[in-house]
Amino acid sequence: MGLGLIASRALRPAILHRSSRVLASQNPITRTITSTPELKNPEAATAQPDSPPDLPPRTPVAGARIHFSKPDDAIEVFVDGYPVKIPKGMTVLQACEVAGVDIPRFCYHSRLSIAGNCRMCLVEVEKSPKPVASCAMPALPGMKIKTSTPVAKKAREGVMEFLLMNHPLDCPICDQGGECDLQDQSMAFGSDRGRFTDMKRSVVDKNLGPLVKTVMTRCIQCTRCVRFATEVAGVQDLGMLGRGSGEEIGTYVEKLMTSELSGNVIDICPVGALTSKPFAFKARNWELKGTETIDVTDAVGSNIRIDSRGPEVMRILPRLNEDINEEWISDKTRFCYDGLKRQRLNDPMIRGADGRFKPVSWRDALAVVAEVAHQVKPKEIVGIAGQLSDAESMMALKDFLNKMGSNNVLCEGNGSHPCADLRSGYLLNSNIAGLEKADVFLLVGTQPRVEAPMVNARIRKTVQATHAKVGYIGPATDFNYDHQHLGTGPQTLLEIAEGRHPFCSAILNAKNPAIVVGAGLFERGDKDAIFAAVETIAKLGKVIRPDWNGLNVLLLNAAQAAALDLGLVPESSKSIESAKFLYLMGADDVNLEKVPDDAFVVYQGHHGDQSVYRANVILPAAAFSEKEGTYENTEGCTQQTLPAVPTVGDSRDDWKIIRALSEVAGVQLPYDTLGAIRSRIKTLAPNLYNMDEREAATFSTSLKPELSEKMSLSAFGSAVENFYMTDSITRASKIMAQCSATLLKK
Amino acid sequence: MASVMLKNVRVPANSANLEEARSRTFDFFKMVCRSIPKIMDIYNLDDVVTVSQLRSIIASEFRKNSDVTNTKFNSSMHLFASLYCLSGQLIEHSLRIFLEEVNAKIFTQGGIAHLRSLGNPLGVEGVFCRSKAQDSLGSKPFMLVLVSLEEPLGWNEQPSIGVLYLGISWVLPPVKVIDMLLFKGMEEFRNVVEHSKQRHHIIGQYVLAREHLVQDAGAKDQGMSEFLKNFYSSNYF
Repeated sequence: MGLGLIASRALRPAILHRSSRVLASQNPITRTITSTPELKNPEAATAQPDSPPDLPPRTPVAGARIHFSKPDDAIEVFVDGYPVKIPKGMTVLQACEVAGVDIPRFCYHSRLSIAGNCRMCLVEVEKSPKPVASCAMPALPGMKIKTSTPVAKKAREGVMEFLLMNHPLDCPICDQGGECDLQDQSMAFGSDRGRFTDMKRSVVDKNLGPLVKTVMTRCIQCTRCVRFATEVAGVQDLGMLGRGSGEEIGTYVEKLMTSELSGNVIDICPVGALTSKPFAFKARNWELKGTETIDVTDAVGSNIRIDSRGPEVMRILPRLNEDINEEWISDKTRFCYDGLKRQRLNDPMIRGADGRFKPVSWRDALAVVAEVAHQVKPKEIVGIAGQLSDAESMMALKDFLNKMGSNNVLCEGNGSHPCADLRSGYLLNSNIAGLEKADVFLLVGTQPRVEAPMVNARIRKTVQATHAKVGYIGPATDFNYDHQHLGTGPQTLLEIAEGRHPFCSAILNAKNPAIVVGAGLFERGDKDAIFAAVETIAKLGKVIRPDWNGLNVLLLNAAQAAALDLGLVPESSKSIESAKFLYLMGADDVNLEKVPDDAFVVYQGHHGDQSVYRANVILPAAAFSEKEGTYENTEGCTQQTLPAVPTVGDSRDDWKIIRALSEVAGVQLPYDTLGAIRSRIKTLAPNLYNMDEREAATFSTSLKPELSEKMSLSAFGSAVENFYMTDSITRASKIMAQCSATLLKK
Repeated sequence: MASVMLKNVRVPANSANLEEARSRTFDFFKMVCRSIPKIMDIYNLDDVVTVSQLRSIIASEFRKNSDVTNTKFNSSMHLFASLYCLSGQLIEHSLRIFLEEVNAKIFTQGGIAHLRSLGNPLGVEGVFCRSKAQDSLGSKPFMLVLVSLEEPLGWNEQPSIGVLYLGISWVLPPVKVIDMLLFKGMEEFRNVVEHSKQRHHIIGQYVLAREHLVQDAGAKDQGMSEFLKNFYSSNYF
């Protein structure tokens, strides 16, 4: 009855308006279909609707900033009716991100290539017959993108239903629970029920090594790990085998993932298919407290977040820092945390007459050390700062030893006669991010893949993007990018310096040549001659210019840069041989055979590593995860660590120990608090006071006087033999031991 | 060994004289010292204290009450007496006798003033307060009497001392006091040995409260700065 009524109404267009009102009052259930001349007009439908002026301006997702490389090329698109300006070449998904709309996705990652196979990012675009994969579609000018229409929503629900069809019901036992993209997106975008009643498929697990745990049944075949391994890590280990529902991600042969960046696939995988093996079943992410600190296992200073539960570090995750480590961290950084729980020194100890250590109280220990320090001549007191020392403790050590009358303070790794005059002589002058601008690399005596994996990742990124040429001088190692092995020793360096080598043409023709010298050369006796040769090459190739300084030094330890900034330069290069009182502050890689037998050795550190065997007194200190310390990375960026867990046993902070020792010894240092010692550092090296800021070197090494030292022609060695075990924390770690047993290339 | 000791942890009704009380005290002390290793084992106190430190702590506990055996007073002692109800039903027999001997009027308001008027045989110091609260027995309020004894009361030919016990203190002969202390001590000891106590309570009550006994009294505060003092105690200051 109602339909007939409506049909008859349609036949009377003129009187409709009046009659509809009458009818509405008489019969409110039936609706009338009205039509107006504007509605009948087809052109009016395509007229752009004005965005209401009272809508608040939208900010991009996660506070991102857009960089317009060519501002005239900006195009305008409309996202949900909202106009946004984006640079040309951006995809629809990125345009929506700029507009503040977060589109769900599984396979898309901003740092990897586009795959477009998950289909979760489907949005509706006007004038398109079907929804469009926004991660792959480039945004065209004037496009109208609609992200929350019923079509888009239905698409997402459908995709989610398909993904969950073959996904196992593993949430209670899956480590990714609580931080799982699939969980979050199914809650937000999925429908409430599925219609699948058949058997789910399952996949055999793959063995990828002691670091990555695989449960391949959970894999949704987004191929993020495959793209990461090929593009960022440079190893083509992973691939997709099979087709359709029989697709499996794996290594075709029984191969372990030996790349030093393999742990990052754990972060990348949106589901619990690839998880961290050491962290398996240990904790849920909501019971962990995240502390934002800095990694100290190498000189890069990657930004990390230490997740801790109570007094224990449970895992380490990367933090975003575009300039240093982007979003990746190396395996050593990620998995060294279990070394923080083993072999810890927690009580001051004194070696008794029978050679065994006896735990004593702090009073006794400091009293003994102070007494011996006064019995020794000032010239025979030597202090060595370790690889993991922070700037405050090195400052306190230097001040204390200076007050005792000695100037023999050095940092291990810097060699016996470091040159700390010009900062450009020991920093990565073109910053880590600046290496992306280089188009020719000359690596001298450095293997960045094991020394600083993040720098290596950056070089690889440049090589892949711009086909930069890489020349390498040193022992044969494998790189994950194309390179030319020019030679093994200083002979090649001399040839390039004199212009005889074919690689010189590459350097001369480059716009931004970069030379990276390894800090392993600091230990050589002829290091000045080698650096002189490198500087000659730099002058030849115009590497050092006002706008571009390509002469870089890649440091090995987290403490080297700050040590050289603070002036930890020993007075005599034979200081260790003539030392009678040796103060080792975490120094485990020092060759202690040169120390005389009657020398009194004090070891202040957090692990009972190699130097403890020679020590006479042990003073327990805090590790990097337990103290607030300032570290300077190899490019000169000052960063600080924050305490994530409390100190172990009776340990104290390094600088506090030295301050207390100085008071007991009668030469009290003038600072009591962290702020006071930081202001003392500010007087010496003001760049160490400004956190998260990079202070570029003011003067280039072209100021150095000419040197005429003889260069020995012995080949360059490798500074890092075992990537997984380089300092006291990693040597104490069981995971690192497993890695070096299984993953190192023999 | 502890179970053997437990059997002895029962106080006979009364010890006859002071010597017997003394010997019982010493036996009890020796028994406690012999069971210290067992206590340390039960509560895992090996990292917290040593046997000799615990022994000194227990010895100090015993020594705290050593003035029970004093035969003479050198200083005045203040008794803290709270008395339930004027009818005297809850007042211990000996105390009542004592109070009757003095003057029953002490119970009423102004009783102290009356005592004073008597020439203050007891050296009473007046804190005489009257509570408005009703006690559980009757409608009589209870009062607090602070009595100071300058000299022995000459009652039972033994010096009388007041012992604070559960808020009710009365004047008792010392042997009884010693017996009572022993009883309390043995009860506590039995609780400890039978693991009825919790470890952190033991640590807090006996170890941490007696830090001065446990720490070596070195040259502690000789010109040490605040920093050094804090440094020795902990990392976080």
